[in-house]
Amino acid sequence: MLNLRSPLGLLTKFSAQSSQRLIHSSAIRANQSGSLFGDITQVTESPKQKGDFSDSLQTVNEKFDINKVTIENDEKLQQYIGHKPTSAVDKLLTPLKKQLYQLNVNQNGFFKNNQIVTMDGEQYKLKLTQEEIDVLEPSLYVKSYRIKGSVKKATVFLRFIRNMNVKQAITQGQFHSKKIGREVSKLLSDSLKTAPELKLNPDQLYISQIWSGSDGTFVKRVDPKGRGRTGIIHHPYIHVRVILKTPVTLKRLAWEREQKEELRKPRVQLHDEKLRFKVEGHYKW
Amino acid sequence: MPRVITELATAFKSGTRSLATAVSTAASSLIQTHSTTTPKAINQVTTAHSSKLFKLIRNSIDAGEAHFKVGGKKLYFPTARVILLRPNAKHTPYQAKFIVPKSFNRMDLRDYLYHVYGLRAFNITTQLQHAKFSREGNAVARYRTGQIKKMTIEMTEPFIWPEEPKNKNPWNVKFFKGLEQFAEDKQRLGSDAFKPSEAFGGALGPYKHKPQPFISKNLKNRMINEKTRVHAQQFRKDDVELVNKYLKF
Repeated sequence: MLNLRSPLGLLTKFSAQSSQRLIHSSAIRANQSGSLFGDITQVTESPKQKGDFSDSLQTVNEKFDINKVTIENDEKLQQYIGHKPTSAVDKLLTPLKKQLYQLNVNQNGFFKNNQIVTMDGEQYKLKLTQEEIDVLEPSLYVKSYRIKGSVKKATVFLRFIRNMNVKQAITQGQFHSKKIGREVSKLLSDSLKTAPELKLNPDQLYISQIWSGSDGTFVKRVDPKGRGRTGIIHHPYIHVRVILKTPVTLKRLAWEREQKEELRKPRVQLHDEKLRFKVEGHYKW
Repeated sequence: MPRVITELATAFKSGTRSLATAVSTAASSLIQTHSTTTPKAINQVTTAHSSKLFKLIRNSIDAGEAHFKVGGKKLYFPTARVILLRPNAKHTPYQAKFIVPKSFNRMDLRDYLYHVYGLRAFNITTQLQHAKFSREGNAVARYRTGQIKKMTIEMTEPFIWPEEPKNKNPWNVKFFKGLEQFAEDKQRLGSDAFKPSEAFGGALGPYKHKPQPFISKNLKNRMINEKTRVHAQQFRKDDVELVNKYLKF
């Protein structure tokens, strides 16, 4: 036994790790210490005891109280669940672009293209596409669960609250004649509770876009008719998606409209251009 | 309705009697019953046949023998599964209900209870439940499940089940209910997939969605690719600078 120990370091490692792990069961089980090397290696671990179900949840730490663990304070679970609420600017822009973007916004109240901003004594000009400008503005994307109803019925209400302040829309939904009004009101008021996590002011949000779509997998029923004919009764389900935006967007849209108006040519009755017909010296009537 | 024997009732209240102790004490207690029963109760037995039967039963109980004619077939290892049930609201403590094999008749049960447990069963009634229809999945075809035979006996001693334990943790009831709920939540349709699950306090997911800005998928991919490209460039530039600074060829 003593000879074994020096050339085969692996074996000693084995036995030290776990007294339960055995290569040849019969001879060694007779050994009281439970070790492959008898009295040479000391057994530090206590022999495994058969525990009940709750033991499997208990970690090595004895002081750990499983009853006090909630989803919120479980760090590892939160890591697994994933992302913290992040704004589009943090998510999509490089650090330098982010700084320039924010300087531009601070300067104008919203992002304006081709504006020169100064940072650390240097001048920068950030140019973004219209699509990028749109997506970088603060927004909140809200998705509903499955709602019983049809797109056709929902659209009546959804068109009505488009571009409305969220709180106003909630009130309208509560008193609307369509059932979808209550569903959307609940959806919006739930989303307002989460808005501060993205640093958005719930009072100032407005509905930028709202739409509904088929939620799929409908149950069908037979609609029996006379003379051996049948029809199909569909039970449709929909979802509602909302994009909420802030006054920053409203300001930009107003400015864009203004710019467009300014660029428009003045209306004149007769354009200052060449006549495309031959002018003769006398009337022809 | 079985006769209520006052002495036994008091003994029962004090907790000394039970179905389980029927073997050892049956003979002695039943002997006492004859003295305590009123003459009126005996007078109720009127017909010649029933009075004969009554005498026979009483004598055999006094002698500590079976109160019925024991069958000739000897069965040493009975395999029948006889399950004692909790009573319904209509049952008295002097009644007990069992699930028995469908092949059992009331004589079988009487014999079984007497010879296995030493319990004397009187006035056995049978309830054969109808076979319910069952479907597998959404199939149109249906089949009948098996019938369940139950038998109710009357006893000379009362028996009351102990109360159900309030703490059911040893059976992991909560855990299995949670599993069931989780499996159900996994099969939600359409947008209901976003709904956070309530199984295990929501710890296994699906989790509640966190607030997010609206970014179209296409644009997000383009912009994040651009961002990572710039990062990689910057990273490489720093490395090259570092190498140039310290390594001179």
